[in-house]
Formats: sequence, C-alpha cells, structure tokens
Amino acid sequence: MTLPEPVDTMASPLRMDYTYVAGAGRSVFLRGLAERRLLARQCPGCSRVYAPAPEFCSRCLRPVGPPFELPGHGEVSTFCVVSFPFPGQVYEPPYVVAQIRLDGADTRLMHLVREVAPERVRIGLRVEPVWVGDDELDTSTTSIRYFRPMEPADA
Amino acid sequence: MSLTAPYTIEFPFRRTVGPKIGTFLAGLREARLFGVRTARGVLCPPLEFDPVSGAATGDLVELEPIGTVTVWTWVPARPGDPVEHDFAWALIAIDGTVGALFHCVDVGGDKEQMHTGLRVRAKWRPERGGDLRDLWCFEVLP
Amino acid sequence: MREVAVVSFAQSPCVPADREHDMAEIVLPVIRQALDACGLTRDDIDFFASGSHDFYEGRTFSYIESLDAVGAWPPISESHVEMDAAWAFAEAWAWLQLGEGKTALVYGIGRSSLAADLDQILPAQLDPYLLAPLRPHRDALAGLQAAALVDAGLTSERQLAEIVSRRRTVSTDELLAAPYVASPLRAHDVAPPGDAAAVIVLAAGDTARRLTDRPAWVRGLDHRIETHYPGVRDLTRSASTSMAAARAAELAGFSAADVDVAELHTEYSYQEPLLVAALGLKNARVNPSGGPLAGRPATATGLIRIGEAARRIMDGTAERALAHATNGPALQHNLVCLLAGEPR
Repeated sequence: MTLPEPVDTMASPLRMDYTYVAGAGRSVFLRGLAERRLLARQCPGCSRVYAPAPEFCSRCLRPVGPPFELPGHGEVSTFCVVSFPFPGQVYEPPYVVAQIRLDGADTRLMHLVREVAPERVRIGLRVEPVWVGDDELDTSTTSIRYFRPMEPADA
Repeated sequence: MSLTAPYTIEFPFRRTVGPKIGTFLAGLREARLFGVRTARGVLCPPLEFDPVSGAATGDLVELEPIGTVTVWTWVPARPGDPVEHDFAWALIAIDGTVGALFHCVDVGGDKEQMHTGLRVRAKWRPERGGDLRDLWCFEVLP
Repeated sequence: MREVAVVSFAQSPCVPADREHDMAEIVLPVIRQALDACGLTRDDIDFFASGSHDFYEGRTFSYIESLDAVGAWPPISESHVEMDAAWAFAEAWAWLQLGEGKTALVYGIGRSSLAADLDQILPAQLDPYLLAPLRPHRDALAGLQAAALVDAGLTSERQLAEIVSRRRTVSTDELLAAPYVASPLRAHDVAPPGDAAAVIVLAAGDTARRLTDRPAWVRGLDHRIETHYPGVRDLTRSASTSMAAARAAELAGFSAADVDVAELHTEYSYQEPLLVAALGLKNARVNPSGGPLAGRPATATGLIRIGEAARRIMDGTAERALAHATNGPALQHNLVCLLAGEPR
C-alpha cells in the first residue's frame, strides 16, 4: 500500500449573511446625514455632547437629550495615513483617516480627510465636510464624501 | 424607529491540514479511503490524537470503503446538500474500524429503505479535489 | 471555599427578532433592573463578565458595544467569553472565589435573528476538515443524537411529544403528526431561536446577605468538554454532564439527586431525558420556567437557566436547585451549577 502525497491545504470558504440593526441612537444620526445635517445630542446629567450620539450617555447611562444640528466644521484630533492596500478601499493609498471633533461636540467622529497632501495634515487642522450630490445622499456616513481643510492655505 | 440593512461577510479561507489529514484528503482525491491506527483499533476518519488517551495516533492504513450504518437521521434536502432528494445523515462504521464516519447515505429519497445496520458503500465524485466531498455519499451495498 | 451567591436576576423577554435596539440598548434596561432589584448602582460592582458570540452578532469584537450599557468610565475590570454567558458566570464566580472583590455582574446577550440563515453560521462550529465541508444543517447532529437515544430505547417519539405538549395547548397526537426536520425530531422539538439579554448579580459573604433576604448560594460549579467528532462519542450518554455534576456535588456537599428544581439548557426536547439520566435527577421539577423550548436566545440561554434556578431559591419555592448550560454540537460541552438557600 503506497500512501498518496499529502495535500497541503483545503479550501474553507465562509459566507454569512446578516441584518445590521443600527439601533435608536445611531438611526437618528444616520437620518440626519441623509439630510446633510450633522446632529448632536447632549447628556442632561454630565452635559457631554455626543456627535454621533448613542441613545444614552455611555458615562452616566442616562438617556441623552433631543438632537440639534451642528455647523459641521471641526478640527482633527488625531489621524493616520493609510499606506496599506486592502480590498474594499474607496481611495488608493496613501490617504488620511482622522478622528474629527466637530465644533460643539465633545466626542469625535471618524472620516477621511482629502484635498490636502497627507504630509500637510496635522492635529488641530480645521476641517469642513464635503457632502455628496442629492442622488448619492443616504442614511450613511458616505453622505459626506470626506472632510477638507477650511483654509485653502492649509491644503 | 431603527434603521436596518443587510450585509454579507465572506472569507475565502484556505486551511493548512497537516500531514495526517493531508494524506487522508489526498486519499479521497484518489477515491481511496484511509483510516489511522490507534491502540484500540483503526479510526476512520483519521483523527490526529486518540480521543480516549490523547496519544498521537499511528500510521494510516487503507480501507475498503464499505461499512454499516450505526445511527441515522432523515432530513429534507436543501441547496448545497450532497443529493437533491431527501436523504440521511448517518454514522457509518467502516469495516475494520472502531468508531464511525459521519456522512450522507443516499437511498433514492425513500425513507423506508433506511435502517440501522444497513450495509453501504462509498460513491465517489467524478471530479475530486481533496476534501471530504470527494466522497459523494454512501449507497446501499448491492 | 468562599461563600458566593446570586442576589439578583433579570432578563428581557425573548423575542423572535429585535429590529429596534442595538446591543447596548437591549442590555441597558436589564442591567438597570438587576441592579435596582438588589439596591446597587454600577459603581458598586467590582467585576463585569459577559458572554455573547461574534458569529451570531455578525461583527468581530461585537461585544464592545455592550460596554456602553455597563458604563466603562471610570475604567472597570471586565472580561468577556465568546460563548454562552453561563461561562461568564463561571468566570465571575471563580474571580470572587479568588477574593478579588465583593460583587460581580454577569450579562449575556444572545441574538439568533441577526443571521439571515443559521445554517450558514452553525456549521462554522464544526470540525473544519471532517464535518463542516458537508454542511449538515443546524439540527442534523441533534437529530443523530436523538435517533441514537430512540434506538437505544432511552426515549421515544411519544415521550418527546409529551415533553413538548406539557407547555403547549396541543395534544401529543397532533404533535406526532407533524413532519420531521431531522428524524425523529420535528420542528416543535427544537427550542425556538430568539433575541434577549439576561443579567445576574453575584455577591460574596455578608455583602450577599445585605443585598437580598434569601441569596441563592453557589455551592458547586464545574464544566467538562467531550471530544468533538460524533463518530467517536457515545451519543446516548452525556459523560461530560455526569462528570461536571459529580465534581460540582463534591464542592456542594449534596448532589443533583437532592435538588428540588433543575433548569436544563435543552436546545431540543430529546436532551431532557438524556440530561435527567446523566445528572441523576430524582424528584426535581424540570424547567419550571418553560426552559429553552419557551425561547432560546442564543448565548443568553444558559445564563438564564442559572438565573431561573437561583430565582426559585430566592423566592423560597426551592431549597436546592441545579442549573445546566451547554455549548457545542450535540451536548459536547456542559456546565453544572448547584445552588442552595443555605451557604454550606
């Protein structure tokens, strides 16, 4: 009896379909994005302003207050330059992903920063959202195409 | 009211299989069934470690792909199943082994043909790639 | 052994599909209810432990979202298991046994409804070389085990129908007329998947006595796992359950034979006679809560068994109780917890 040469590997594909449930808080923010509005909510307990906001404060555990609109500009709190290619990227590397603290909010939202060379992005850079056209608006973070420097001189 | 959305997670994994399972799968690709020696007898399918003692199992040994159904459950066929009509998932004690192999038994969709103690033989797929589905199913031994 | 007791238990109703709430929104009211019931705030909790599973949730690190319902600022001591929260309970109990603190809160979230098709999910828990490529559907291995039990004369289709009809206004004969999903199992033999969260608060010694009139003392706890491949297991017995029960009994000073109430994590009706035999239950009322046949919220189901067993002690209807939790296909991995109204 001769043994066959062993195989090295075996295909083991996984495919799973799911339903994502955004939840109450997240849905408020997402609906705002479909209307080109950046909505914030404030905790009546500790006064923390969330944007995007959950349904209740993650520190006090109290339900947060009603949504109100922020002007939309803000500043880069921190950022990184993505240099690594991977499937599903919208833009070719290198590109900047930043944590942006919108004016009026205490928390940060994550988005892309473009119309500026990556090496010219810095913590504290003042940015504003670039919204997509009407045909692309959706209850999604993609309603904002990216953020860009407010001052052309920064670009 | 909450928003909801469908999405899919997909991973095209390939797994390394190690020498023992690798040889077992290579055997399936050649339409050959292998078991592995242990202190208590031959196990098919081959496990790398004895489930009772934990000791590493021994050499692989070729087996006639014939066995006896020890347990079975009748199920409706679903997309992706080995056959398109109703069939049984079963534990099949391959002749000359201790323990049993989990696989499909095809009796042409007639549940009355299924019974514990049924003698069955492996049917192989015409195109084989080195995984458990190279063994298409077990059929009644004529 | 340190005296540790359940002092509070709460759960959300098990619903077929929650399409309104995210994970934090589901679990927050249940945490609040469990804490209110024993007069604690989240600042009084020394340790948080949770159980849920990414494969049900559909995202890696999915449980992180639930920490927003726990309040993780100032920073907290917490842990998570990617399995039934009964095992998070085991971890919290062990943590308290080590003397690390006085209180622990255990929560479990189970959402079976997010997966569009559980037949895509459940094969992922099977041996990737020898079982998963065949993609048996979700109830196939259970059907095999049930068939083995019937073949061995340890149960019958009629007995399974009787177990199910106990909780339903439908006759055994009607149930027996239904088609099989995996013979001998019919759809009603399968615990219906759903979504829910459950919370248990544990406390040690005098803290427990202060927080509730009748703490449910955890007298013993153990869990054991069997080999995975069904072809080398004796499917007619649950050796791991028997072993876990014996070890828990050594710690407890009494055994499963002595309990008044047993809450069993029966994902299928056939598992009830199998587990009753494996545990050696004598006069226990089994699953007075309705058990998983009344609702199976994935990774919260086992924790709910512990909670329901504890509740019978806390409300005075039982002196001694047993809770069982399971994980893996065909009862591969089993946990047994013994509880009593007396601390020793």
